[in-house]
Amino acid sequence: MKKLNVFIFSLFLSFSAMAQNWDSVVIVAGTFGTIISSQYAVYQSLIKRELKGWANKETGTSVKLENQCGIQTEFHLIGDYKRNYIMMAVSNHSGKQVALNFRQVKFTINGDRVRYPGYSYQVADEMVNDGWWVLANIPLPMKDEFASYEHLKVEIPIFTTGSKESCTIVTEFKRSARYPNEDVSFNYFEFMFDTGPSLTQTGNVDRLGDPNIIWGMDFNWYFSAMHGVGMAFQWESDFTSNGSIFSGDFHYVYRRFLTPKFSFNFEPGVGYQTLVQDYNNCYRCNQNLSSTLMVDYRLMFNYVLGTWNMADVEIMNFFIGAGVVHQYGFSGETNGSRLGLLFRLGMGF
Amino acid sequence: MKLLCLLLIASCSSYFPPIRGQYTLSTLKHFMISNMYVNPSNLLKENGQILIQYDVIVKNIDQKPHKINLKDSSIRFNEKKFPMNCSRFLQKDQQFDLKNEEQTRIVCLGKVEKIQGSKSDYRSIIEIPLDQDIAKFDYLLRAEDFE
Repeated sequence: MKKLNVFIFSLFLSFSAMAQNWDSVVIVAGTFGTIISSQYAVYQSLIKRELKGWANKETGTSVKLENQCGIQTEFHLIGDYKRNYIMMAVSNHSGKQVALNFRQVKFTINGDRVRYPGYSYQVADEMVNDGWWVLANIPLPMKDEFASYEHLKVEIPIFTTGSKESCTIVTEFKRSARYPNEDVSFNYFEFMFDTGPSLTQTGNVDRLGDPNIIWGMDFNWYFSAMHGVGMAFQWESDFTSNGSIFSGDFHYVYRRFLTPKFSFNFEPGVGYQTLVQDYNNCYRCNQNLSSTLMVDYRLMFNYVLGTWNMADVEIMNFFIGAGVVHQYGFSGETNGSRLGLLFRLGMGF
Repeated sequence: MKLLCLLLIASCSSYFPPIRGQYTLSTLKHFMISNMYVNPSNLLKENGQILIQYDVIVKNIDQKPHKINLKDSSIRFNEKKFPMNCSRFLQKDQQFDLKNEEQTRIVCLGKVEKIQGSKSDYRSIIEIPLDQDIAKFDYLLRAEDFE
């Protein structure tokens, strides 16, 4: 069935391409890409990875078992696509009910710095009855901050029924290695508005007149820290009242962070473009205007202006960027090469 | 088109790996045991046999050290007992002393025979001897594993 579905999609895509029905190609390929990328995003969000840099050399894991305050606990440093946290298992066979006071968890970092994650809305006290086994999460500070940690001591106060005094469970983790991109989130979406002046043009497109401005939208999705895929739509106008060129592409994205806020993007893509006429002063009235296959790339430098954080998790960031876009159309009125400057306003989440 | 999209989503979702065991954290007489490292997709088939890898974390919570001998580790499946080759993660030894408050990781490898033509899931039990205790873990073999 899976192969049949892929076959039908591919057949539809091929027929559309052969008929040069580029609108259908974009719709079918876009649907296909959206389904695959959304499925992969769901899959990524389900996957929890152990933080390799904190693996104990003897066991090859970060797991710490503790038998304190009459209960058994297991601590595990985990990261998903966007945040790091402690996954904690609690097994209570003490004969009493215990309450883990997660709001008062104390982190001691690198020996002397103290942080409390208790303000987070994600943290609640956990009541564990006798005989129960539960899993809980304690959120860690954001990835970029956590990447600077070498040593982490965790203290969790617990209360037991019948006792006024709290008891504190203590465990410690020590960094054993450092890996690249520990501070970078993946499974990350970007939405951008681009605009800028047209610079140069060659080929048939010269006959259309001099373009003066580019504007468009760009969507990227990063499936790893440095690699992603995306779509971009762009209009280039005004060809002295002859209309504008519309371009749409599917592209690969290579992203490299030069500093935590400053990144370089390279977006090579393939797509199609067509001339959109100005019907008040048309260029070739009553004649068909052909669409053409196009290749393009964008070279952009992005800078993060600020982030919106909630409970130690980055919800959204806002960035600006600047760079160039270069397109090449293979036939028709838009055959030839065009280069433009782009300025970017974007948000990532 | 909508039907095609739904079909594709449904078919993609079957790629998610099956759950073979539940996380457990439990206490024996002298040890704490956990199976946090059950890798659900780590299952290979070879010449009519299914290869299983199972990871366990063990901590000695007794006041004194204990001698561990992993040679009699096994997996019970379909009313048969198959041997498992268990050893410490780093040292690769099967016999060692576990000191008070010390923890270690045990990696077990085993083979079970495929049941030809089976359409059922099977529950197997992994047994690891820990001095006077035996650590037991459930492990689910899916009907698809026998295909």
